[in-house]
Amino acid sequence: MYSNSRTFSAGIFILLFLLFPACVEIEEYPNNPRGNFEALWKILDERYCFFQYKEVDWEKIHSEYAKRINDNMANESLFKLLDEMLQELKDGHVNLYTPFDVGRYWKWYEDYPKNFNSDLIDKYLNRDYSIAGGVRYKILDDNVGYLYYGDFSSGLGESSLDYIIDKLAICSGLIIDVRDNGGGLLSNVDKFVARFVNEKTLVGYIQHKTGKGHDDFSKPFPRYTEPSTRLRYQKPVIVLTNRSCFSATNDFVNAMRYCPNVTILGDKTGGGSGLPFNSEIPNGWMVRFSACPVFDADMQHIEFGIEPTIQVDLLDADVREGKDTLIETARNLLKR
Amino acid sequence: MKHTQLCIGLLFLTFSCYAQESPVPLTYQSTLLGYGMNSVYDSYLSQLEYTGENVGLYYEQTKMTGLMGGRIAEQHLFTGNYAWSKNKPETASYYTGIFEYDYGMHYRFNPTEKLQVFTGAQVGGLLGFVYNTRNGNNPATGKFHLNLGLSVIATYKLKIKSQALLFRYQVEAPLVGAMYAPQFGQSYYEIGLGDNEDLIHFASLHNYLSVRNRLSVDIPLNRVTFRLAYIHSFYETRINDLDTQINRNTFCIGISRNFFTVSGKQNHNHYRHVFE
Repeated sequence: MYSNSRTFSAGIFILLFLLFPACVEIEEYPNNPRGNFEALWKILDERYCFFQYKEVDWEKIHSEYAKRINDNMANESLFKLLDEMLQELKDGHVNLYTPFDVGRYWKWYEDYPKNFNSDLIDKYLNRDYSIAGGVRYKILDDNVGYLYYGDFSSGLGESSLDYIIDKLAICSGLIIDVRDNGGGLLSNVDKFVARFVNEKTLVGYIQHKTGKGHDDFSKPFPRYTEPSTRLRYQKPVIVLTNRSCFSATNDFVNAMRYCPNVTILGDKTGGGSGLPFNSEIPNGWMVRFSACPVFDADMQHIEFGIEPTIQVDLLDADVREGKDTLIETARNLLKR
Repeated sequence: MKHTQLCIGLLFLTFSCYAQESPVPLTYQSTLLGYGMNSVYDSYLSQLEYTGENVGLYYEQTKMTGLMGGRIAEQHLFTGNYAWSKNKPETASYYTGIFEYDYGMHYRFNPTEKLQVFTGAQVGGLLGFVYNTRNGNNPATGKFHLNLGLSVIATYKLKIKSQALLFRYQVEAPLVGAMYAPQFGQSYYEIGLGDNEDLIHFASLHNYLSVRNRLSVDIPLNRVTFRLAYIHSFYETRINDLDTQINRNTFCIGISRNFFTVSGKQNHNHYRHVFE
């Protein structure tokens, strides 16, 4: 007994000893400008999901920017350089957060017409509108329903959706205005879209990285919208869009495209289809980056936006008359 | 330092001794509260190591059974630990919760009158999470393990002047089992959509290393036995290019009790000599 148990125990010890080198050695970069640069570059190198789609040569970018790093750089200079490097990715979901500034790429909407005037929205809503969660809504004079949802992060409960749909059910159609909505929670998107489908509908696919290589991706996983078991809207719907429809709002517009009786009207959306993750570099600055690509139902990227069914721009002449060209066009279409 | 602690623990796994007889099926029970330091590295959440403090609740019950002539002890171990930590620049925080339960069967050796050694196997599970307060779509990781492992306990009685003391050391190390881990860049949103294939993995020493060391001393004072303990817990996984390392050093204080229960007339008669 003694001999057997000693042999057994010794064998376990040797096995464990041999496997000790498998212990994780935490890779630490020094907290200096070069260490922070290398850490940031590496995080993106291993985890960013659009290198291939955007044909970005990340190694070349490393070579170019590494030359510009010096160990005596002030934090502000380092931030500017790192932000400039990140902007090479042309991605609104890539940000560098520091205590004194936020690095961002906003050309996806800054370089285009706004096609939105919040004063006009206030004028249409006037004072007799209702608020349910983050949604402001009313019935316009011509019996067209109008709702404005400016942030998918703001609350959107099932009960609120019930009240909204119930109140607007008598209208000839519904305008859903998501212009200038920069995104938010995908769960709110799923909840909203479920009110406009009557059967399980394929709205896109999602992938994730399975390893550190630029092309290490999982098999695309289909995303379906199941019809809500509560009130669902059955009349024509027009979704108003502009270039500031980004991220979750881009995803909402994509999903609404596959719903019956839905038309997308306005300008192309801003895109932002990569589900963003966060990480950080040794000095504590946080980086956000696109980690999981989301596709439409035809497996096409929607990172750079979605074209509307009907392109309509906000005309200055209409603005001067206190009219929103997109809303007016949508009203005319819904009255037909 | 970490490797030294691990090696000390593993040395005990090789320890085995001659057996002697013990006639009474005692139950050892202890409840401890602890406070200590911890470090957490979880590459799904961040590339930085976080350090901070932890509090824990530890419950143990070890009972001698009648199996193999009274040489088999069964043990229940429960651990609940909660930790809070920050990254080095103190710009973000982690909250970590870990709950563990293990059931073990040990064979008892009595090399000397004062020394007892128990070696055996454990089955158990771990459920936990690490939450990062400022991440968006990757705010937390879940931890889930089912394990089969080894355990060794050594106890040594000592008397300093008139004060009796019982020193006790236990080391546990899971060897094989199953564990939960997301893919490298997989979001919990996608898992929630139903993409839950390949989330449960075979776990062994090639991708999972966990060692727990418990060193304690029981100090009987009047009618109460106090237990002071140091518990070191090391947890590490390396799977899907994701690395996790959680290291906890906890100092505990609590109460331990030694007792035996007798039920049934036959058992009562059998252990009558204990009462008389």
